[in-house]
Amino acid sequence: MTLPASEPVSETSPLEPRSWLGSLTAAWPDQGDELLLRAALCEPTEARRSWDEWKSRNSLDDATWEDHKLLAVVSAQLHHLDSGFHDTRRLQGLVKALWTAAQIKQQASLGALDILIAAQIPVLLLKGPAFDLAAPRPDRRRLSGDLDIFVRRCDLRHALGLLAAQEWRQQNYSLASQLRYLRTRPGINLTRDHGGDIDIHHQPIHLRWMSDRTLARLWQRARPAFLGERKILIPSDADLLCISASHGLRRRRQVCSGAWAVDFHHMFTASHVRLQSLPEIAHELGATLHVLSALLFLQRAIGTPVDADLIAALKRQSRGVGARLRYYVGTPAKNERDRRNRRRLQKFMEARLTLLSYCSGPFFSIRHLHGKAP
Amino acid sequence: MKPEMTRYKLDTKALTFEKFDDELIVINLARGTYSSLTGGAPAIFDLLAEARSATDIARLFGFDPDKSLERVSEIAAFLHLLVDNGFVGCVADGPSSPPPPNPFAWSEPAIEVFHDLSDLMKLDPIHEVDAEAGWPTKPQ
Repeated sequence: MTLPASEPVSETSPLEPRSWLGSLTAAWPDQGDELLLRAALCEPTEARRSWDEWKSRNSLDDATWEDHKLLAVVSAQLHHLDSGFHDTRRLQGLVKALWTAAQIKQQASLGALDILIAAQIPVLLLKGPAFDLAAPRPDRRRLSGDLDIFVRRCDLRHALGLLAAQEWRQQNYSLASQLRYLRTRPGINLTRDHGGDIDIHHQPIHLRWMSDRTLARLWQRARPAFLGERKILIPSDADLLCISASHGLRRRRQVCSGAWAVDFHHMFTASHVRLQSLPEIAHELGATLHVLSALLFLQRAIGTPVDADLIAALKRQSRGVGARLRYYVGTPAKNERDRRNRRRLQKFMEARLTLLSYCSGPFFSIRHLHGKAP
Repeated sequence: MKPEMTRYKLDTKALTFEKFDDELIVINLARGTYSSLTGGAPAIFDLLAEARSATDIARLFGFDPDKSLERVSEIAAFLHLLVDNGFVGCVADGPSSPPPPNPFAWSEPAIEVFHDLSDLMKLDPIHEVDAEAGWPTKPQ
């Protein structure tokens, strides 16, 4: 049983204002993405219905990059869903093109890992590629070649220096100018010739300053894995879901995409994944609301088997004001006033983050913040 | 040693490959090529995970190499194409690799090689391709 995209979350306890739980849907994938997700992940009848509805409202010609990622997942089911689809060859070509681009980019991006590994800097892989290693799926093709990596805060300066020395740079701004904002952002994007593209993170969650102790626990829970014969670390299953939910359920410009839901669905349908500690870890990382929202979407829109006790535990822990504000800032604005409110709130949260980061001790020296290095 | 007896094995150091239904896409990142393998080619590519000769492969497709000389030559010619494109290398003589558990159904191997991967990547995969064939085929 699934609900249409526009239907709000309806289960609330008497103590929970309906508007609050209902507002979680603001960061859910838009209707087009939801239809593609259902086509890719739901049981056959619902999948076919959703695919037909997507086709009736959309065209391959107008599909966005976010649609492309989901269309690639749908294309793997196309012979069941719609064997007579008139644009099959073009869709298959799109998937091949995306896969090819991802291979080139990933190969170039792995060079950054080699630099850090050679310097014995521990590297934790985040998001998509980490899901592939945590719950491998033969039918899942990763179509994004950029790498999201996480380094310890104490290694960040060294890591950035090494990468900058090997021509890894910020595409649109000088690296030095971007370092000024590093305290308020979870990481920095670096690119290199031949398509190399990495996001190097020092904080796993947007707009939340984490203590060294919390980060140390995250590193302790991480487990070893191999990416292209390179020994790296991936987060525990629960950490991976928390980090990915906090990144996935955020607007990019004014749109919330749905690619994260494919990885989440696979995690919840994989037999070996253990998520008993998810509520505690989500609380520790400040991602309870994002995880709760993600699981409610999976349960209600896709029909993913999510344990009701897990949802109940997350609901009990999702009363923190900070978490609600972080969630709100990441949702699309309804109008100009709404946009201004979000901007003000974000600035306030960034200022708080900067203050907390200074209180935590040295991070980057003044020399770095003034653009002399790395 | 007869050319048909020369044994070859995949050299995957520079290769990235993936099956898309009945088609195998192989990217050679060192050479910047994109190749589409169809027909019996993906099966032959898979078989070359172990060192095999054209004669070995013919046998695995159910042919008697002494009676099906034309088929063996066809496979040998295809193996040369794989060598030319940097997919496989010759290996020294050694013990024969064990046959796979199931015999393969024969169909003619085909390979289409695109030599400028960077050019292909500039194509818009939706709007600048042949609608019937899809990327990477340009419109006629």
